[in-house]
Amino acid sequence: MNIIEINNLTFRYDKKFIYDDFSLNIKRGTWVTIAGPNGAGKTTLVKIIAGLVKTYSDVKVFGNKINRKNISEIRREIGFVFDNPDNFFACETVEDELAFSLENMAVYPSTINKKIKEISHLLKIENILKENPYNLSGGEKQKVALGCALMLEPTILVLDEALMMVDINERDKLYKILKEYNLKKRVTIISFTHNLEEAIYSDRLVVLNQGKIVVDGSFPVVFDEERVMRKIGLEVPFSVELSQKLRLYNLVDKIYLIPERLVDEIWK
Amino acid sequence: MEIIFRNVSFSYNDSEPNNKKALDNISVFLEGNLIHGVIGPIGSGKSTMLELMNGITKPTTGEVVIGNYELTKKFDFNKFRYDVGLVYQFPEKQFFCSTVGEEIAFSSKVFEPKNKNIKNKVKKALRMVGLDDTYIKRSPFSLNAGEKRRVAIASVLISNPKLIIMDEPTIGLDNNSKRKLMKLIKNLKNRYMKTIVIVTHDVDMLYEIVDDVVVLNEGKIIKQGSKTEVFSNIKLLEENKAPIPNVVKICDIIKNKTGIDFGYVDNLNSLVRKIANNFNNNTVGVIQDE
Repeated sequence: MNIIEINNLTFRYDKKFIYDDFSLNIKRGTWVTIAGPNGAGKTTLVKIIAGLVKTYSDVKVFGNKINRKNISEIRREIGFVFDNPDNFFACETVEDELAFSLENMAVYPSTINKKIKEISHLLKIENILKENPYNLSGGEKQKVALGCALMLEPTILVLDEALMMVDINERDKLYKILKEYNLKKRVTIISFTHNLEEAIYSDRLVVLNQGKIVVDGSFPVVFDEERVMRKIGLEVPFSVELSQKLRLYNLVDKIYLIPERLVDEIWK
Repeated sequence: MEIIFRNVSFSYNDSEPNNKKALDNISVFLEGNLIHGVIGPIGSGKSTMLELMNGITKPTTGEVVIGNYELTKKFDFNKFRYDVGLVYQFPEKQFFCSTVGEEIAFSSKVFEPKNKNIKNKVKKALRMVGLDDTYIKRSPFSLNAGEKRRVAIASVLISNPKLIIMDEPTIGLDNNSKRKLMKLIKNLKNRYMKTIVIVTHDVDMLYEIVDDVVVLNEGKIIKQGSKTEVFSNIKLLEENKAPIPNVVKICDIIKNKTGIDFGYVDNLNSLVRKIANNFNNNTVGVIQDE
């Protein structure tokens, strides 16, 4: 079942068309990575899904066209994590920040506390619960912002460059946590990024350029289109680039994402 | 412009007991006219170090000296602002003028209202970041992310700082914009003799352009030295959860699995050539440097 259906979307800022006859369907419970260079239309698409910008095109979330009556209900089911968490924090401690939205929904304090324990353990942020979110590093702030979204147990989790301040080692761990969360809770994850390494964890990679889908597929086959991705300015994962270059020397015959496997294949 | 930290400690909430120090008694000397990288895991104290360098915050204990400025003593802050430029994360989010020209000229107009040469200074700053005069009349909000970042850097360069501090300069940029920015940073050092300090997680970018590296963990300096010296010590980087460049990582895997030591490899293309040469493969020439 499609949880998001976008059919023949047309959208423009002033006279510039961002999308012209654009269609995209996303199945429930899947993790879809939407990548594209700066200016590809990623943020516009986030705003359309969030109902933050108005469109007369056929955009359906949970099977319903977004309108003034159902927008609050739809938003309650979607957790958004944006790129700059500084724009979002409102409380003096991480703990309060995590509790904030549930408190506003009049959830019992005991339930909130239980949820805080669960989420802070999941994201390994128990040690910073008493800290002021503004005193945290960029990566920690983004983890807290992700935690706030997960507190609401969203049906859809939308990540807009949400982990780019997190360092590479930590990011990899978070991807694994999110994958487990995605499979266990059947949460649909839609992640907007230009970090293509995420494709390893997601079920589908959609690459946008100038409002059009230029690549759509799943790992690892999708990286056969590596040239297209590089041409539009995306940085393909290091191992993919290395595999492709070694293919020219007939040292490997396919793309490897795990460096150890790539080395084994070269020296087999 | 040299940077000296002498026994510097910094705590965000100094009054609280058991308060964890963001920086814990660090001493470091960063040489002038080089590109320095500061790396470390989340919460290691990178951004705090950067804020101390820029005089935004003062150390809890210890001394910070930037060129001739002793930041823990009384100094001419306005003059310091001219000599030290800071490029924040997402600097373009601070834009508020309606044209690129006004945006870049803003600080000069505030600090030197009688200067009649501001227009030329704007043009020069734009040229330094590789943008031409046609950008002056454009709205900064109409530019793509890479151009916005360059305009933000130009607005720092207009005061001709000797030291430029950059916090995650490539964050949010696609590969094309990132490559252009890396070229610009190298140019600022080689052509305009600037000292540059980059705090980043993007260690692959850093590996290609940096001269010296400082590794931080839990507020302490774990290692400082040339990039070959620092990045050849993979065990230390791993132990301290510091990011490792992909080229270095894969060379280490090759060494562990096959015993072949390629030595210092500066980028992916050079690694591909070394691997191919190892198999006496003569297809050399197919790979072109970017």
